[in-house]
Amino acid sequence: MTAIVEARGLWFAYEGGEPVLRNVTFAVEPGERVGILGPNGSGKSTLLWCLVGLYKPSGEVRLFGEPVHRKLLERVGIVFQNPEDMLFMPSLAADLCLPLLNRGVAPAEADRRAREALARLGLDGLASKDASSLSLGQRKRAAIAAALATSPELLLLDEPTAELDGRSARTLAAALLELGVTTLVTSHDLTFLGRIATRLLVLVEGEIAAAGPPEEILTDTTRLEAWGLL
Amino acid sequence: MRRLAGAGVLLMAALAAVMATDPAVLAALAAGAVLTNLAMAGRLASGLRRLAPILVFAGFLASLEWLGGAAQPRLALRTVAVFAFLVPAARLILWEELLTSRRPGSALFRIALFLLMVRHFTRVLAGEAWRLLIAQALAAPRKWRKGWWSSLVWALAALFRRALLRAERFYAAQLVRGIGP
Repeated sequence: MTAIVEARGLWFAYEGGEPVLRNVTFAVEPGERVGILGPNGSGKSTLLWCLVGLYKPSGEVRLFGEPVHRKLLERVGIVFQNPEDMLFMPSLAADLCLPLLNRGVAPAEADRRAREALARLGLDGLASKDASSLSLGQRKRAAIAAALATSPELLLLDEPTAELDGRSARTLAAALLELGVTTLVTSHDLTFLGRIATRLLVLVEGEIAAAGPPEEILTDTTRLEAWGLL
Repeated sequence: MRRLAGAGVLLMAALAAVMATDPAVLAALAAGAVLTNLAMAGRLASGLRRLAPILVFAGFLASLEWLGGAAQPRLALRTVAVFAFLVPAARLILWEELLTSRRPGSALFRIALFLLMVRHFTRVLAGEAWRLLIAQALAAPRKWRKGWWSSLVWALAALFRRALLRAERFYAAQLVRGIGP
């Protein structure tokens, strides 16, 4: 079976800087929810941007078995760390309908699918609201709904629980578990990743320091401490 | 010291571009400024990429001047020259050192502090703009199709709103720290 994400020997450095990613190799199989765990500045977000072609690393990235190209990104839902980056239209409904209308979906169908995506994330009744009037937890879920509206085959989430309180993080984890979409999520939130991930990759100083099931990685407190995660 | 002297020469050249009225002199200054940038960038492609926005803007200005009946695009040439001299000058100055070597409250200290704040805020805004425009391009990947224009307009409006909000927060933060009027 073709891997949904394949990264081989990725190296990346910002202009004039030290390498942020060092020989990163991994794959995400269909149906997996892979968590990229790492302390601040370990290269997690950079890795996500490299996977979708916003940064050009050396090495090889393949999505759905193909080298990354613009058209391929229509099969990917990307959720930014700050939901405000994604929710800039005058209402949640407009935010969710935009990618559908742009792809040629009829307005009535786009509206139906947008409302369905909002309902899946427990946001029914908020379609006409402006994102700025919602709580941060609601905005995070709305951003995921916006990514889901196009029925992506892969969901990429960048630090989804950043600045969220415990209850909102739990609600978000429950929502993600129900989706059943192949997911790659970056976070340093051990509890959240323990809830949702089927496999973890630990990224430390741009290198994959460990990989394995969450129950194995998250119980090794000595190594978690050494990685700066405890 | 050599860096500061180099920056001084570039600042003088920018001042000369502000004062010059002869189109030939302005053209020479603009060309010199562009070449200085390309030489400092090291690589031709990266130098041209950095200058592309100002060259596009200058092209727009030149077309407006032409539509307005001006025989020579003085304003466009001056814009390119001043901008392209100021950017490498700002890069040459070691702002942090300039700040720490001056007495707090002195005129040069205030100028350095103000310019450092402008630089910081510009970086914050550039980051905001980058993320917002990437999000818009991902949400409406098919250019010129339905929703592309309107989403671009809404994204820019959101950027403007956020710029005001960030500026307000930034100003408040400096005020709380005792820096400000």
